[in-house]
Amino acid sequence: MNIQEEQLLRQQIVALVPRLRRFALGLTCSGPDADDVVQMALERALTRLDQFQPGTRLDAWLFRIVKTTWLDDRRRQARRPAEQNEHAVNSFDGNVAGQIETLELRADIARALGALNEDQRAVVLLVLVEGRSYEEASDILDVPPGTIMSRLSRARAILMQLLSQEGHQV
Amino acid sequence: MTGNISDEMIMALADGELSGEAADRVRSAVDADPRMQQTFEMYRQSRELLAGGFEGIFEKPVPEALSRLVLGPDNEPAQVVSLSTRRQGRPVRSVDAFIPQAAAAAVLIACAAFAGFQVGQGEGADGTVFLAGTLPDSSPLPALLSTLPSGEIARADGAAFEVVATVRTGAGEVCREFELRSADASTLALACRVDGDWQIEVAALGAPAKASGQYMPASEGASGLIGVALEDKGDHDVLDGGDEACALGTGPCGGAADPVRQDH
Repeated sequence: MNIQEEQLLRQQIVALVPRLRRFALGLTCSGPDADDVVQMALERALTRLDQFQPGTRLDAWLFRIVKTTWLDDRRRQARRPAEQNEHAVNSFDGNVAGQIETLELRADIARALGALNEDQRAVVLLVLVEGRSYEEASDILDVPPGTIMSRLSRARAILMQLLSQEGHQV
Repeated sequence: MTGNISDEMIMALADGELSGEAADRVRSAVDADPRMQQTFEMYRQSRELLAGGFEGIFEKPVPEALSRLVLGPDNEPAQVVSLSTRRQGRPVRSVDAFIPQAAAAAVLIACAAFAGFQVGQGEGADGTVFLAGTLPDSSPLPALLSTLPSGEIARADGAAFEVVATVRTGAGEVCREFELRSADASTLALACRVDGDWQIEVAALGAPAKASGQYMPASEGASGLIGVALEDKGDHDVLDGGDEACALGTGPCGGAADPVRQDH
């Protein structure tokens, strides 16, 4: 990849950031956490730009990195909760959380998503919020389409049960 | 017949994942069975509710730190709009996949008055900007692209139009890199002649000019992006003088100096 191609790729990545933030918001259910995850995922992607296969979908590649970054971060925090504060302080030097409006997820949606396991949450967000097909979700999450469908179906039953309790018309 | 319709198949129908016979079969089964209708409705509503919960999130401004992280602190980004879908006759595509709204608006400023891009703002459900690369008949751009020699400047409405270079691709396609400059912005773009019509391949927005009243040249980043678009076309010859006139049909062919091999 020459410098111009890399520059073009970086421009395209920037254009996808709003989507990545929305996906990360659904995964983390927290605006500041979402930006932390997106930041870490972008750092990860930038160190692997040469691994991106031109001609394949850049958004799918980035969604995959955001998802694995989120999972890694969750595991890391679960193992070493004491580092959580340090991480929060170090990330972004407060640039994102402090100066710019952070994203906010509606409380009822956050509660409903919070009831899903990690796999269910990722597939629900990709298909229902990001509008990906089952096949694309299968590609991004690296699981067979049949698994996508069973996770999605189960997750939606849970979501609807919770959202109906929240007073949404069902 | 209804016994072998699973909930997952009903879900696939609700999600538009089925087509043809499979869709017809599941749809008939659902129509005939109130329990299945309820299941279908559950899936449909779950999409509606969840997507609704994320409404407006996409439009939130991206923290500068995130953009800087990707582009680097010193990068004065040129914004690129790929318009190549036009060539396949697809419907107008939302620019939001490529550039932030502010940049799209700047393309609008740079191009609308002079180049005649068909630009409309706020037409999407989420207020995104749309930009069509097909040049309308009223645009002066096709005529200029067809006739103006490289290096000469045409002016209109406070904007300057200049062809930077003309190339012929290995496939015989004639493309012209041109610049539009106004006090507000400069746009570098690549147009190729397809079946006699000029199509905009890429438009790259350079740094906006300061309020100096001076024309602002397109940034190096913008020319880099045009360069990438040209590279995608494979080998190409840069045409000058007589070869350019020949390619445009404004001058005789033959007898001119050989074109400079650019990429061979």
